[in-house]
Amino acid sequence: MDKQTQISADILEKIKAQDHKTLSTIYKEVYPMVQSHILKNSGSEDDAQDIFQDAFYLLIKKCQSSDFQLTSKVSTFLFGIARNLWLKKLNHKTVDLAAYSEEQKFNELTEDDSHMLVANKRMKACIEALGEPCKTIIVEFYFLQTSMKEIAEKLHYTNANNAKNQKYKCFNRLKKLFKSASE
Amino acid sequence: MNEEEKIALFDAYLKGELSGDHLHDLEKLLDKSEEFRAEFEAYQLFANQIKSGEEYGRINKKLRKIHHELYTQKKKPLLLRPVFLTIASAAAIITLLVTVVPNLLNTGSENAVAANDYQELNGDAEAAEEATEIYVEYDSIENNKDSSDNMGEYESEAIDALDQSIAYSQQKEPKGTCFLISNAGYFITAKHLVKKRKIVRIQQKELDMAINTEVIYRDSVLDFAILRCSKSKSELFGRVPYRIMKNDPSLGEDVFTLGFPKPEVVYTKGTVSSENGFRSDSLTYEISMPANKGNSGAPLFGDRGNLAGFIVANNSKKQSVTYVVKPSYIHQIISDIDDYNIDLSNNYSKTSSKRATLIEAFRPFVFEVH
Repeated sequence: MDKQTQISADILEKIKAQDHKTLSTIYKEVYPMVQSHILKNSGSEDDAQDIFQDAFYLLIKKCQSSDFQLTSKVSTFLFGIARNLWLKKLNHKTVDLAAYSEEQKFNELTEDDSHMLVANKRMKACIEALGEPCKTIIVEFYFLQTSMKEIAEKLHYTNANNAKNQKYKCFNRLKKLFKSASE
Repeated sequence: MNEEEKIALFDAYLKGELSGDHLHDLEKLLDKSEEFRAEFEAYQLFANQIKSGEEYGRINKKLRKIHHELYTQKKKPLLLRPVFLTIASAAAIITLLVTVVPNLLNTGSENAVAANDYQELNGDAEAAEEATEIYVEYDSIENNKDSSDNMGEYESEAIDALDQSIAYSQQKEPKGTCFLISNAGYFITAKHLVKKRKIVRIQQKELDMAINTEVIYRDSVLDFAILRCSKSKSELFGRVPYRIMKNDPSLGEDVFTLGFPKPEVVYTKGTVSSENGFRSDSLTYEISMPANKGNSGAPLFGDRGNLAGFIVANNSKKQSVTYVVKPSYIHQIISDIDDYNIDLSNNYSKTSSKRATLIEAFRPFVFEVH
């Protein structure tokens, strides 16, 4: 492995681990480029922030998969995803695309990636919209893999069965909410 | 096996808690019944979706924190704060004088008596006589906000609250009603329901939602406020199936409302009975319809998928006299607000000759204010 490849492998490892300093350094380096690009292409600062953070999320997800290899610099890659995400959003808004000419130069964003992103964003919003105690129960059980017994203790249910019953209700509410949000 | 037991079994299996005969039985069932297997797979898929949705949220939160660290200005030195506060309160006192004095001068005793008939429809019945005073309070908060010019801090505080998860309550009596006006996440309600609060909790049982909203606008003239939810939550809403009427409704027109005088949505119908509101106020109009506390902030609909205004108060002395903010005024305010993009372009007019169909379409867009 040559030195350059070694460095990028290290960086990918750190991105995967969501190392704060690494993420912050990359953020500082790439965000200004993305922002100026989006501002130039009929977007706002808020848009830039949203798009860039979603692109960064996709980068982290990619680093998690074992077969991922970076073919360019991290910054180029990240910028490429952000650019494609913005293009997708403009398409969605049916803005005139004539001004936005050299579209598909970057191909880092696949259909699967963008579907996953949309579904995850929606799911997160649904989990939040559930309100308490459902949000905590759902996150503890499905994300943190906490046992029903511990959840019952944490949320002061008299026994694990009560907590289980409550979890079932929350699960159904989430299912319903996610379904209606997806329509 | 009912649905609940099935899910409990799937959970146990996925967590590796099954053993011996239980495990054997389940695996056999999964093997044999295609239907059962499909149910299991659907459950597993959804459980994974929950997991990756939450993971997205956590990574996103981390990135937003980094953004905040890198780009948000540091708070102002503490020493400056008292000065700002003094200026703010001075401004508030001035507003107070300006607002109250003309009221005292203009209002003859006859009108002062009449003012007592005007009753806001929120949970606190005693609010009626204090109407003028409440407006002064609103003005003073607005001044506070503007003159202290640390909006950045204000906003980030508000945004944190918008992301917070809040209690979903099944039984609690709602204070009133609000409704979605733009699927970019903006709601209209009556100002007296939100009082001085920055953050207002709203919920919708149809959609199984309980969310925080930020008060982004308080009208200085009418009992009118606009709320906003976080962007991620606004993405859960569909297109709003009504448009704001271009012209104010005419005398005799039929209207109806959906509101929360109790913790369940209630339908009430009425008729436009006068083109102007309380004391001939030209920004509101009068309908003949009974309204109860909890109906405040409720949308009023015409027959063709149009929003005919929203309810702000009733007349405590006359039966079934209810006051409604005119759609033309809503239009004017929404187009006057520059700081926020209240995008109405996705709204459409749901039409149907059956009222039940309209109600079905509208009700997911009407929320309880808590």
